[in-house]
Amino acid sequence: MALLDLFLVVGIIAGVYSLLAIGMNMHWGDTGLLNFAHAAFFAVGAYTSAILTTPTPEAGLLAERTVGFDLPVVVGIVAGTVLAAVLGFVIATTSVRLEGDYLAMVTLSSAELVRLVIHNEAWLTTGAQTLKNIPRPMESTVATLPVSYDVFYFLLVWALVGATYLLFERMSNGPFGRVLHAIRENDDVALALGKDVTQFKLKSFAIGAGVAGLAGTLWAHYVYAISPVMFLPSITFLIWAAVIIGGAGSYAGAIVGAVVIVFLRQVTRFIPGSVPFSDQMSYLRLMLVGVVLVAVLYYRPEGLLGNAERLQAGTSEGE
Amino acid sequence: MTLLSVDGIRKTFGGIVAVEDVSFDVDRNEIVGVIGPNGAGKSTTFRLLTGFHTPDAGTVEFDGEDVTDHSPDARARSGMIRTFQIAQELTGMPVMQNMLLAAQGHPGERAVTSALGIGGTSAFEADQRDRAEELLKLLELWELRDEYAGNLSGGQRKLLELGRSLMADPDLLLLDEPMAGVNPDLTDRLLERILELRDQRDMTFLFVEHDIDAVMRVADTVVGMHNGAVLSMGSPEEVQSDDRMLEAYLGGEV
Repeated sequence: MALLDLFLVVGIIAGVYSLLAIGMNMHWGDTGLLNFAHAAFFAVGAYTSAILTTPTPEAGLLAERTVGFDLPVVVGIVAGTVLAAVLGFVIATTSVRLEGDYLAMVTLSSAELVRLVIHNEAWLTTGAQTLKNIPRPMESTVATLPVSYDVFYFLLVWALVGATYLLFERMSNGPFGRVLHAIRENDDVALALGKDVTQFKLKSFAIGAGVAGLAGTLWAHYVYAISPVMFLPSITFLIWAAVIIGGAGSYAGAIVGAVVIVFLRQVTRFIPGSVPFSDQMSYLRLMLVGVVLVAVLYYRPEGLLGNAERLQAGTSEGE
Repeated sequence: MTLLSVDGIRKTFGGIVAVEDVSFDVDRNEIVGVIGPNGAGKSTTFRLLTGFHTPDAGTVEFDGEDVTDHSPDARARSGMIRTFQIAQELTGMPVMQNMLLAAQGHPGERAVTSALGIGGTSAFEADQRDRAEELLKLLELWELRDEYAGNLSGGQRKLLELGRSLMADPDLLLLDEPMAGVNPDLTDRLLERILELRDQRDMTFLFVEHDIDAVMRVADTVVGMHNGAVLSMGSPEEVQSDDRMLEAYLGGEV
């Protein structure tokens, strides 16, 4: 039974990461945008929903937060998703005209900026302290059912992953995705064919950021308590690893990559302290992700579910 | 009737004057060829016409509208479509997708309509597929429709690029050295197609070209450039017999 519980916890985290990876795949896989602000979208989703669904803290408590709305969880989830999309749009407005590496730098620093705002604006976010007592959706209803809450939440998260996957697949395979793919391949061609490249990039950024925000809301309502240290840039890098391992451009790949990453991260937590190098285990666990990434890129450059034929065609010179 | 009117455009890069006071008109249903030796300013002129550069001075008018400050995509939407000198297929996309991308005013290019397949997306898409099929068969690329464009030969890429620009159904098609690196047999077919299209679809062409023979065969008007300026303009015969053009090509003093 304990193993099943563990599976559910890892599964829920993997579902949340899958949503993050789906958003990132729209940015990088479909549109070729180097987004390094993903942790910020995740954070904004989490904090928005947490602030909207918790009551105003009583005065005199250690935390100096003075704002809370006590709204239904579903309002928080919708608002968190929308606000993350808006943030994505705003960050993209300032930076999406930049070429590759520069976009990466600006988005990375934007994400840190967002995290520092959360860290410092304690009246709104409880600052460096933990924002606690975030309600779980339908907790009292589920308590009357013969299944544990984790079973319910696991199904909820994966239902949302499934729905998101279907929507994004359709977008990617439809005319909208075709324009994004053209932009990924060559901006100038898209321009020459009358596509408003900047508009499409902004949309891609906002939509992908919105899904990351959704992931943030689901995360916040699962873990009860959030703090700024949960949203370090390392989240962004792990999601990058997930998208690359799964195969950039493939939404199924993004999910598989996220599951692989989460599995590697979570299962290695239970390595007992008596093994050699156990003091360095937290670094070794991170290195393991790197090793898997290198191995995948070496043996399968297109990623586990990526399209090798496309990669091959994309590098040929003609004649 | 004038479709494209270029008036006194100028472009400098640092201290180099790439294009100086270039003016010419393109009439509806006309084929205009721009020729000149290397460094004559042809490509810069082309980029100024298509919006990939903004001129320092002068104006570009298309269909009676001043488009000088319009972005490349806005110009494309108003009916002037360009090709690239080195064929720029989207190599990681199949031939058919390359073609469909060029369709103008596609209702499915909005995220919501694309995700939900609403707003006439599928009907429009089906129409465009029919058009693409017709064009691909014409260009003898139909068998390759599902092949990634990156796997095509150089000549096939040129044809695909032409087909893709025709999918956009332009009023004015701007071709940047369409014959470069194309074998003579294919050049003939391309020229034939251009003449047919001019008559059937009432299209107008402007092309920048190195291959003078090709220009002389199809162009109604030839614009000869040298050192960033228009040196000679008129019928192919007139430009060809202009001694200054000959000297420009042979590197003499003008």
